Amino acid sequence: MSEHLGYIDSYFNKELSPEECRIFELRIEQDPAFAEEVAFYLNTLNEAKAQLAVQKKERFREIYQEIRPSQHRGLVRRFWPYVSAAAVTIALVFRFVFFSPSMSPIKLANEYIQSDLAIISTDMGMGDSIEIGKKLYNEGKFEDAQKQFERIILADSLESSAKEYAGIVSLRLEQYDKAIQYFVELENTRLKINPGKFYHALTLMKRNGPGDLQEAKKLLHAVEEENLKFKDIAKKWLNKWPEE
Amino acid sequence: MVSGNISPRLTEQEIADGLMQSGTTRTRAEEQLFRQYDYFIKEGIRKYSLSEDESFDAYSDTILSAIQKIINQSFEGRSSLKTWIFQIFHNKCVDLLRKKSTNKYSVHHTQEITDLLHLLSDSARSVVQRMMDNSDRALLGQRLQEIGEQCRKLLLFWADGYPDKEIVVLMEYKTADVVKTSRLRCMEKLRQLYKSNT
Repeated sequence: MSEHLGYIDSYFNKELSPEECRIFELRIEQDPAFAEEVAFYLNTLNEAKAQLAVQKKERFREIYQEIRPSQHRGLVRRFWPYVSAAAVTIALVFRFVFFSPSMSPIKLANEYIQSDLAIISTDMGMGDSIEIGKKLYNEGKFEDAQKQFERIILADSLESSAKEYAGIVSLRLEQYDKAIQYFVELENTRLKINPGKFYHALTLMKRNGPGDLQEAKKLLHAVEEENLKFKDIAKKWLNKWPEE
Repeated sequence: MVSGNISPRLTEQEIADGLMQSGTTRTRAEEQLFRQYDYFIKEGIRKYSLSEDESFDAYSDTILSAIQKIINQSFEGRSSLKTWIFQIFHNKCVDLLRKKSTNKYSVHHTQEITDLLHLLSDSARSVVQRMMDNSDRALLGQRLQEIGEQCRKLLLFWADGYPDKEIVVLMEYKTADVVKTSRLRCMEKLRQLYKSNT
């Protein structure tokens, strides 16, 4: 190995004394072969830096490619309220001009489930067993929530709110028969404001099996006539119910 | 950072501290610095009428230059990091526009003169500079690609400013002396490869 490279390295690492540095620089001027090695040392450093820069720029380009779509998403997000408002207006105008206001019952049911049953409001301390079930539901742990509400019903078969929630979570789990069973039990419970029939109708609308829609319509009429819980929604749905 | 890939913005000090570290910490800090002011790319397009690619190049070069300066402690902190980086970016964009207007841009990328050259006395520097200008850099670059993975990696770490004692950890050498000896052997190997074709 060339002894010069070690010597050159020491110079550029500032390991030489001022006197040694002076001798080093003088040698460059007097010894072309030595000067050529110094030039090679620096060229190697430059070339390695250039290749390193290429590598890093490639990495930056990958990052930039990742960032770019998110910037576009950011733009969409920023203008989303305006875009969505415009879209809703256009959709409403289009609908009133070209279509009747009727909506399929399954669509009404889906919209209600998505908007009104997305979370169950919580209002008590964490230690309450119903609240634990609600919390599990709100976290999307439907199976655990169902078990929790069923444990409460098992311990107290008259616990109406546990039945209501057990029915709702069963509906979310698409266990329609089980949901209907809980809602029918709720219907038969003496409550000042009873949501049983409304939820029963909702489950039938969602299941959409043979005869389900006719039965659901009867239940919604009953909700309205008997002044039960959610009668306003029942009325609205009946107005949108398609002609048979 | 959000979004799955989006990292939270760091303070200037956090970035500078990260760049002074080694290995993945430094790599992450470099990437963070790039992300921190990536909107300058849009500024390059809007203010300097550069294409997206040109603006990206100017911004990438800016970040690489800033990283080196921060590591070398040339950034004195007299202005904010953002202001300082934008100044570098502005200069890069202006350079690019000038090169474009004189039709030099597409064929010639000037190589930055290493700071080490300035350590030499004026007379010694002019001798070395002349020899550097007369060398075949393309061939040297090609030989560096062919020298072997271990040697190339070692030389790139050195070029990235890592001291030998940190390369010990990064490349699992026994001591800093072994790193130095290996590095000089690799340079010698490169020199032999290079000379065999000149």
